[in-house]
Amino acid sequence: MSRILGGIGIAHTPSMGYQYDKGVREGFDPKWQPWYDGTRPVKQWLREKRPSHMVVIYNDHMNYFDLKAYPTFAIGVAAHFPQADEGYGLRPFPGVDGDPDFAWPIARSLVRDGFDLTFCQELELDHGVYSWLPYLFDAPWPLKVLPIAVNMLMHPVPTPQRLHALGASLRRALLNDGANRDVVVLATGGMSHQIHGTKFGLTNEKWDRYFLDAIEQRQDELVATPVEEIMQVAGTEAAELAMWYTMRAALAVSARTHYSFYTLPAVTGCGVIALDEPEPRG
Amino acid sequence: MDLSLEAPSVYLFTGELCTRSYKLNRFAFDFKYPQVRERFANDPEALMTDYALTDNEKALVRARDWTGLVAAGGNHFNIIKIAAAVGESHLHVGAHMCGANWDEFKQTLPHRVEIMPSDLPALAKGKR
Ligand SMILES: [Fe+2]
Repeated sequence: MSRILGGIGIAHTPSMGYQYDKGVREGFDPKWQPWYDGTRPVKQWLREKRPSHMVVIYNDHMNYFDLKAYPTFAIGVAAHFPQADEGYGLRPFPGVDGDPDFAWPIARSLVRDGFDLTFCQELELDHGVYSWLPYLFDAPWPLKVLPIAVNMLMHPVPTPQRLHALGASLRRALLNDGANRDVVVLATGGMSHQIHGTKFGLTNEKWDRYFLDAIEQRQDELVATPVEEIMQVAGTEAAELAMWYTMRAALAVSARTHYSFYTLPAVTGCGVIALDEPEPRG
Repeated sequence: MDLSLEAPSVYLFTGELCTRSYKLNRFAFDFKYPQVRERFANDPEALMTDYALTDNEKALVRARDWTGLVAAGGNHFNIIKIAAAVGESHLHVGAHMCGANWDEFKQTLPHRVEIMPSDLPALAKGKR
């Protein structure tokens, strides 16, 4: 069995990535400095945990998957995942490495458990991964990544209950994979934001802070909140937060928050949480 | 602020909508490729005809009517690719969505609310 070391929930947004590149070049914009500073303890936590592998639950934004055949759940089983060009050129970072020997037992276990994922022999990662990645790790990336992509763009999207169940299945897969890896599970989805319609620019710090707090011990309360209500109060694109339930359900119920942080630099709530998995007994 | 999930607050991108506006979305998605952006810069009409856009969709593209394109079923992540090709950011698109002047609009961002799901029933009652 692999060891689950902990979990991370983190926001993503294209500007987060843009501001990182600009920040390291010429200093961080005052609005973004708090996010850079606020992610330092997570980077340090990861350095101490020393994961060999990271499962990443994320969504693409019309940058890799086109609409010809749109997978609801997809898993990247390749040995390498390049960065997706979103139309502005590639950012100065290498692709991330995958590990097919790690990925396939997990994929098989998930399918047996009722999650029929699309297997991706090729997958390029957009800002859903690359916007936060350099805040948490220095390139060359010190671990292998197993991406699980979720349709969060074309409704109907998976229910909160289903995303939570995916996390429980992922936990079973990791604990029975016959491998011996040290794994962190990360889920990423923008917090409050909406970038279309007359609600463009809506943010809800109150909701975001409640979410960051409740994900630790009141996940049932969150999962029971209809996604439509989250979209009403926190913007339609905040539906992506439901992916955080997958991360939380992949950890023990008794997992506890090591650190969390929130700031609102622009038009998307930016929060991060790191949860410690309890040490296995015996 | 109108919190409903109906237009013009929200243009929810559904599978049904995508089926109806598939050609428009395919057109906009392909702006991620430099060759397509280049063709659009050189001969937009030929490109739009190649992608079999309707007359209405072509008119919306010519008018840079981002709101109209999203209302016509374009996914906003796709439509902002067309906007980017003509030098407009997603924030410009946002100003268009809100019918606002760009310079004024950017001063007002973000639009903060402090409403929780538990507040929604009372808000709905207040409206009636
Ligand atoms: Fe997103």
